[in-house]
Amino acid sequence: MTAISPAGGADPGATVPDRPLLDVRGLRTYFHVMDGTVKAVDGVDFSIPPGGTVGLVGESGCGKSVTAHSIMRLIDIPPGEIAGGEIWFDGRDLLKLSDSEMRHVRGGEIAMVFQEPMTSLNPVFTIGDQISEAILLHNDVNKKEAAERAIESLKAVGVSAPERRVKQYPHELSGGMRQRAMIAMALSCNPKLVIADEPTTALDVTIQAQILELIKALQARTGTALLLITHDLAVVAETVQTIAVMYAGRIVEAGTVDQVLLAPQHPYTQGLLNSIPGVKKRGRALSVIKGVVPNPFRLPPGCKFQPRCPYAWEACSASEPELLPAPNGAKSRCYLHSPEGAGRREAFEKSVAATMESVGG
Amino acid sequence: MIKYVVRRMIQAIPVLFLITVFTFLLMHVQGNPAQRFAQNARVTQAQIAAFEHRWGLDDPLPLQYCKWLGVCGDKPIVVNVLPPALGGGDNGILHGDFGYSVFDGRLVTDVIAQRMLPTLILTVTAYLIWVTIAILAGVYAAVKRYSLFDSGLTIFNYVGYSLPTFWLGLMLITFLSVPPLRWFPASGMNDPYTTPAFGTDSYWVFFGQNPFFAIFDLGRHLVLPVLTLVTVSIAGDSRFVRSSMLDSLNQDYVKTARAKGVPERRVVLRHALRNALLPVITNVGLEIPFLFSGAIVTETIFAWPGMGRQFIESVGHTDYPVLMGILLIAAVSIVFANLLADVLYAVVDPRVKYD
Repeated sequence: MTAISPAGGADPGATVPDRPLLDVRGLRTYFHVMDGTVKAVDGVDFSIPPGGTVGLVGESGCGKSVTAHSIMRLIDIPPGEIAGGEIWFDGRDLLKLSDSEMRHVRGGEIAMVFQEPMTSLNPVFTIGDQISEAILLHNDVNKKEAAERAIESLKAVGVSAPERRVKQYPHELSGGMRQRAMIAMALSCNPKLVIADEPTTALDVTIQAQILELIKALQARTGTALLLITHDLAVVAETVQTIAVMYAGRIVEAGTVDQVLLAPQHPYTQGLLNSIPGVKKRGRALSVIKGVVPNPFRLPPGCKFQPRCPYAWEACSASEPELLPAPNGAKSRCYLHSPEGAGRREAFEKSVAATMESVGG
Repeated sequence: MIKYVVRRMIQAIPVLFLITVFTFLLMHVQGNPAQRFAQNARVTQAQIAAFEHRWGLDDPLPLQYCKWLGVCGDKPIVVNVLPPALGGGDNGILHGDFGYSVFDGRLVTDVIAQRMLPTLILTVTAYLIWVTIAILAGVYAAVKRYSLFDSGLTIFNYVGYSLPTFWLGLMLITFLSVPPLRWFPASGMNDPYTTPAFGTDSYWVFFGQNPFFAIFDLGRHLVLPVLTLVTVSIAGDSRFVRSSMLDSLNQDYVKTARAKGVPERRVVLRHALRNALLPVITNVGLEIPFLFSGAIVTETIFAWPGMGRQFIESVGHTDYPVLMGILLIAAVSIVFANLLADVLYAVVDPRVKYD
């Protein structure tokens, strides 16, 4: 993203063209626990234009959910701490807002859909109560109007017989229905940004597809920006425009869906793609990324992926690379894209080509 | 729900039956009450035999039990079990007849009725105070986890839970009701110099004439026994509330509520507390039998004329009809408190359905 003057924005409702809706800069979220400090997010930058869709991808523990929770300021402090960075949303730095200002952002301007629809809805309140609570908090309406809007929002996410559903409790609904209700709740106040944290992980595969279709359709219809957090590359491939791949609290590769998924520029992304089981790989052992995710208390020196990386050389453990522009226009945190790495790039590209061949596009 | 309650009531019948068997056997393993006259040189064997015959103690045990239950009686068994209005018998607990005290010959029901009000005054007061404080303190400690208050409550809980009631009661008397402080009276329900004894006819006349003084006097006498009961019970219950609340605060739906922009106070009091109270209701419901059975140790230390003290006195007198009556009331209240807790649980938790 180009430099933006954050000083303006007298009217928070006005969306200035070119200005990203969400601009996360140098975000650092640490957790101070008994054994030391976990740098769960350590210098994350990314932005989402108004109406844009971004996928944040990575394996468990890479910091993608912590990034989302930091944006919402839902980190428990202590033990958590947002140690640095800025989160510009619609002309304001969310990290500088007061608690009550932040409360209006939550649910009203940024809404969130969580992973576990089984446990994310309060078991002792009806679906209708829970949706209208959000509506009542962020809109000047009475209870009756809120209840009507709750029914409408359920209808919008394809819940059958919404008049009946609003009177039901979460345990009376199936997992897919509950996730639809969560989405209805998130969209009920017309937020500018929806953060979906692994919205399909807990669902059956057929329901996953339905929910993704729904998210895509609603996103297209309402023009809401979307930050989709997932470990499932197939999910992002179908849903978002741009992708940021996270590893050990950092973004290691960022670009459009085509750039990242068709021509990965970071060995970690390549490794992720390589481990997708495909029809062409039938009968062969599944490929894995060698080694394990580094211990958060003892991150390796230099590039955090270097101990597992087949292309690593001395430079990789000496210092950590910046996010460097790669030949295809994406950005990659890898010395392969520095002048010194030029000699080794050929082997990498050959291997990527083989990966893409085996995955089947 | 009504079906469920009725079914539970019917299920309670065999339980109550077994309770009567055990109560009866428990009371009779300690021997024949007539034997306490055996060492008395002025009581003849003939008098003991007459005593035994008068109380039915010369019957075989099963027959004694059968009569106490109200199944056997003057009439044939099938007729005797019916209510008196239908021509049945009028003896035995089935007909509300708990027999007579072997100590002073009064009706057991009269003895218990006289002791019930003082016990309820003491236990209900203490119960309301400790449940309220335990919930407030437990919730606050969970919300402010690891704060000074939370640590203080934890220490209080460990100390309070470990304190024997008799020791705590004696310490309270030692420090608060003897010179130099003499803040609160150490025993009884009212001041014997200014007020007639509690429960007597003249007491109620006095109560009608000086209601404020009578209540104030009663309140002063309540302070130390209530403090004793409350200290120990808060220690256990607030710990329970705290852990239940912590559990609830860590649930995903609390995060959902925060993500909706719900103010923190409302997150705690509406979303988290409502769920945290579900197990608390069961726990607190199961403490209800205590209200009726009384506090044996506390009532004894503070000379509170309630059920607990009557129980100790009756043990001393080998007064088994009264003991069986008190034990039976305690057992019945436990059965019904369990039922009440289960029903309340279904009322507050929409996931629980009985039918």
